[in-house]
Amino acid sequence: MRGVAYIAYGANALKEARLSIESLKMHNNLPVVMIGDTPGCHVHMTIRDKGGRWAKVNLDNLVPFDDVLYIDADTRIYGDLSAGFDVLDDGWDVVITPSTADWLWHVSDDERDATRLEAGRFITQLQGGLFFFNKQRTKRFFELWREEWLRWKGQDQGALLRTLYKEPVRVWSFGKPWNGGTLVAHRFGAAR
Amino acid sequence: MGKVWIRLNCVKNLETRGVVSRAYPGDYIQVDKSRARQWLAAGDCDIPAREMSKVTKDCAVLCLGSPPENIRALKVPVETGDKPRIVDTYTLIWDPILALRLELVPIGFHLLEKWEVAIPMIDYDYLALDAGTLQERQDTKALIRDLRVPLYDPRLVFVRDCPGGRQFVENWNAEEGDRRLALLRAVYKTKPLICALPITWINKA
Repeated sequence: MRGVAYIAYGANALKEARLSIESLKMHNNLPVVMIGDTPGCHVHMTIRDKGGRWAKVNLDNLVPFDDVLYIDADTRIYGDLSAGFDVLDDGWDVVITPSTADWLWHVSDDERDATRLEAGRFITQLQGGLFFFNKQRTKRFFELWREEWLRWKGQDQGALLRTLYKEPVRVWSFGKPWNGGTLVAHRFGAAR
Repeated sequence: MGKVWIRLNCVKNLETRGVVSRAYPGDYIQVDKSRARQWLAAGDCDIPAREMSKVTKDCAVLCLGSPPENIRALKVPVETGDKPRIVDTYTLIWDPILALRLELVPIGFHLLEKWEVAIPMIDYDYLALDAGTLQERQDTKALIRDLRVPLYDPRLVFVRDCPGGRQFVENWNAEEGDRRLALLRAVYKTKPLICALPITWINKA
């Protein structure tokens, strides 16, 4: 079963998520779960960190779907997203877009240095604001992602890179239109 | 003066022929022995003997054209050929049209200990929907579902000798037409554990 997951903590994030879901529904007929700590959320989870990253690295435990699309709240959807699920059906484990930002600019110096040492800085940085994954085939991956995230409890991208290095999965890359482009617009920071 | 591979534990500014570049913790670089000894004593680097012995022992380059002289600096066997094939446990399939960043080659081999295939992306903005003929794009879309995806660079492909790697090379050789779309289809068909390398690997900022 295919479905979409949002995470929304705080008034701004809730507002953004609702608008994103509205835009999603205009082009896609998919069930949606919203994870958060307010009455309107489908999955209640008390906030554990400022950005809701703990919920993100627990997506595999929180959502009821087999194939999951996670989308940041501050996005707007302008088309059919079914190709991402079709790619999972074809056997890829994760579908995600590369990040073109400076390498881990937003994580702490300690975490950035550790990531350089452990995983190197020579693999492509990934954009964690939108990704598809097959729950069954990424069980171990999510376990490790949680472990890695708990080391600093900050952003999730450094932990994602270290996890990918420790436990590679079959990753298919989508391009910019899928995250921050014409298909999925990303209003970075609007949900904070 | 002899050089050795080291793995940095801290940031270093390096000067090569008057040009200063910065290397970061975790980077593999070659330095002369006296400098390596200094940095080792200060705890600024390690000599990754186990890792680097692998990348010099079971590695080879398949050059799809005439290899330039400077390729000898890698100290790995270099073969020539006109189509992709696996030469050793870790093979770099390289088209010399692309200027090779020699310092990255051992890192590419090293990544093959984790992944079956490692290939740089060509660009983050030039996508599959921009390449090939209309017919090629239609055929590719029928397979890969959506053309709004980055392309991999067929001029620099690291591949491990394993079932996934061998299948990938077989599928790659079976594809025709635009080289970039052909490679993309081969990757999609094989679904190897692929490490997407950033565009800096092909000299793009």
